[in-house]
Amino acid sequence: MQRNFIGLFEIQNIFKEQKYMAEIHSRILGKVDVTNKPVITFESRILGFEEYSEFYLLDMDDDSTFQILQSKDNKDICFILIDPFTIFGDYSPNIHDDDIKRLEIKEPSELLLLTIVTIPNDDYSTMTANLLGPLVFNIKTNKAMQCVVQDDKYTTRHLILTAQS
Amino acid sequence: MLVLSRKINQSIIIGDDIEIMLVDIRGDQIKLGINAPKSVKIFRKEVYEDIENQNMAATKSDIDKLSVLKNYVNKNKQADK
Repeated sequence: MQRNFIGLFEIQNIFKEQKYMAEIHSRILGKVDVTNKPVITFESRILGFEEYSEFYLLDMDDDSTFQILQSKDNKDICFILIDPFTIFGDYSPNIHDDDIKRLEIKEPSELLLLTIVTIPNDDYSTMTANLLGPLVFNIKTNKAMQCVVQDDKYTTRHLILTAQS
Repeated sequence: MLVLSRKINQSIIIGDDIEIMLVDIRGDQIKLGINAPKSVKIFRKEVYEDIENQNMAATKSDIDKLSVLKNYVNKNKQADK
């Protein structure tokens, strides 16, 4: 009986020493440590990617200009995001009330809006931001969705480098 | 899909509070008037298709040069100030 008791104690020590680390693979960032990073759930899916609802929002190095939205389950599903308000000074998207309700956003401080960047043909000088279908996050609950804005003046392809702030 | 014919100024009612009226016909284009509560989203179908296509193109973006272009973006912003 004493031997059994000691065995159990050793097992407990093993669990204490072992650090739990979560790691995923990203097409763009390679191996990423996502320990303690919240999973963001897109209950209403990103259009065209209906199978994928769980993502991580990752930073690129120390730079905050761009962020990466990386699928938890598929390393190739990876979006480059940019804060549109820093580039397009006039951007004032009309987000539908239903979307705000669906995301359970109660105050402006809970809302984060980022837009998807496309780099066509690897030519960064023509990279564009999708201002018609921005991603809206509730940073309190980590729920998100791709919203379609109710304005005729925005398109899915606004040039980033020629925009005036 | 339910298919109906309408003449100009005739309407269709959907559910309790959505009305669609044929307002005008010119050649191969028709103009529709829609009365619906603000809570109902209304979009041209191409908008969804456009966003879906753009999302797909975005996942093909490569980032070999991302470290270079982020400098460019910052410079641009400073130049405007």
